[in-house]
Amino acid sequence: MTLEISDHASDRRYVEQFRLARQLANDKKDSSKNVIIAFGCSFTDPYFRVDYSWTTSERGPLPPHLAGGWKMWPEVFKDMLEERDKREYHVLNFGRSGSGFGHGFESFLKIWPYLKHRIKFVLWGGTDFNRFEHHSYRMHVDLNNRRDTGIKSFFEKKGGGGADYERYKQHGVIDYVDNINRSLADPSTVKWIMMKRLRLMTFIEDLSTSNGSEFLYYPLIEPFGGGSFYKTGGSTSPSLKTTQMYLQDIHFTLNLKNNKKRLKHYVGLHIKFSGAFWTSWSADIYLSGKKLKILHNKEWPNNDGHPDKYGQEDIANQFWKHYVAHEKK
Amino acid sequence: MLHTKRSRSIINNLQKVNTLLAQDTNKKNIVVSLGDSMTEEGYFIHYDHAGDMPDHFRGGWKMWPEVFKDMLEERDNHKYELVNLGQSGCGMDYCFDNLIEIWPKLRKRIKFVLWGGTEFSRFDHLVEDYGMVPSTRSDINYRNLSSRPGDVIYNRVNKTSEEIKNFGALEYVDYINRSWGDKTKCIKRMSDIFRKITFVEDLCKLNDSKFLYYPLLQMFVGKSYYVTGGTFEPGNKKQTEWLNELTYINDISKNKKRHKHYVDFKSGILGVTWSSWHNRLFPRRNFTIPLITRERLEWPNTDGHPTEHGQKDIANKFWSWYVKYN
Repeated sequence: MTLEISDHASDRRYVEQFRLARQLANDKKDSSKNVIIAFGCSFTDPYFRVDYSWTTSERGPLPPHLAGGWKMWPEVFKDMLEERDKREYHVLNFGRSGSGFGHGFESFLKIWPYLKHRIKFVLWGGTDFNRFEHHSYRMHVDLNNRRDTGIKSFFEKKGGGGADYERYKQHGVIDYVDNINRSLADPSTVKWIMMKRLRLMTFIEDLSTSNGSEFLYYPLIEPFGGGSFYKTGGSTSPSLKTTQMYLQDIHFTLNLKNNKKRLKHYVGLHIKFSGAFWTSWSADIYLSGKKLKILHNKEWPNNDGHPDKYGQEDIANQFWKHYVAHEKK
Repeated sequence: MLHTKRSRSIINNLQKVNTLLAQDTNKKNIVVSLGDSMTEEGYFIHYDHAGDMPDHFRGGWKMWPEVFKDMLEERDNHKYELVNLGQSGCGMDYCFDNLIEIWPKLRKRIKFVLWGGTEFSRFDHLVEDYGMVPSTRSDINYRNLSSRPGDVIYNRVNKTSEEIKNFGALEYVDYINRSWGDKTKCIKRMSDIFRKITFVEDLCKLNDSKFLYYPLLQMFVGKSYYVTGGTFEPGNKKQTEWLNELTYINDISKNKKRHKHYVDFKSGILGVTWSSWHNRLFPRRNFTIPLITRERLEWPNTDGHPTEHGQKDIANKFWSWYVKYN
């Protein structure tokens, strides 16, 4: 099989990861299972940099050393693994800013048939469940861009209908996005989205397990960002509390209750007598008051909610601790 | 089941999966089939498509997966179980999603995955369990008005467009239909789908299951969308030309062992040609046995679904390809 490497302009930055995958798959000297593949959004993206058009800072754009360029969590995780196992591992990081499950899954489908014999770890940094890929145009669509708060700030800045409004309008998705946002007040719709996304994870878990690979999934941000959509005729997106409530009812959780060994694949998920609890890394940071985000930088006040260097290390630590704790069992 | 818009057939077949799981056996004897209305168990041609056509012309016959299963049982002299996940109006992504839903539970027992390919433009609504068929907004549907020209009440375009509009997707669907005039966008879509098809091939190979894919409809059915501000889908010639540019197809072409998975796939010095079942019917000038409903001379209509003979013909195509390579 030949690995599909896109020559599209928007994929250019990411070609390197696919080229490395090709090298690893065809490496005649080393065929060992020592590859880590990682998926996620900007929290995982190896090329992430603070986007100043999204960030406000009184001092102007953040200097490069505060805007990114540090090791992302998959790389930190790899270092920990290498230190423990005293052998070399390779990381292929397919994380991509703004993307949702659909894009991650597409990358997974590209890479898996080609490289599965070498994959030791599949690590997935969970992102917003409300993102999807446009059907015919290469574009990530984020429902949250039409949130009331987003529209407000956009009006103040440029006088439009939310970030990416023009692009969404041009590619025919505004009505569609607003329609979906309107239905987020319906619990069965939200549970349906949760079920569909987590079904993909169950599939990848099963595939990885049957391939002798480790699989770990950790929601790095809340599956639904909360917030309201009243300006676009919608209601509110599920909050942390509501999502936890819905989690109790979906098949995914019920199946895990019946097979607790599977919990080893899901970081931060706890099933107790009183129910299932699953908080994202971001929610955990918020609740614990830890200062691990770019916006916590006091020298250069800004509002970017991405993890900083220490945040990335913390995410890697959470993955690692979970993996080690369950490995011992 | 959170949403109930899934067809009765899918719901029954998913329930059947649970029954099969409860059986205390490790027999690898399950045939899983995927597809749209040309595959759905118990599919009846809808009133919107064929007006008041008598029921015995609408459906009620064995669909191709069941005919295939019968052939297999006869040859192997033992019983197979069929899980038919075909659903009317669904697209290729939906077929794939259905398979991955049952795969972790059932994979050890799956002997065959049979996939009857449909139009590539179809997609699922993100939150509604509703399959979007962008080609319902084509010019031909505007002009043709199903089997009864001039009947505005039962105009398929009006009715379906209203549904699509209620789901907020009219603008999106029309954008998508405009996209098919653009080679890059068509190729993107073709790659998205063949990525999934070849992934399933690989999945089956590792699981020691047989996999067969047969395009029952063309990838893009070649319709025009000028009434809705669109353009037209690529014709057969262009589709074949673009098919030859796909990494996935070139890989299959180069590796003859993989041809066994792709019914009617032809590869020669001039490249790959691959006709759908439906497309191969067009050269038929004279027919005594109607393979699609509109060939029923006793009841003039415009419906393109396979008749009972058509279903047997599809099953035969799958079967002869399978036997040829095994």
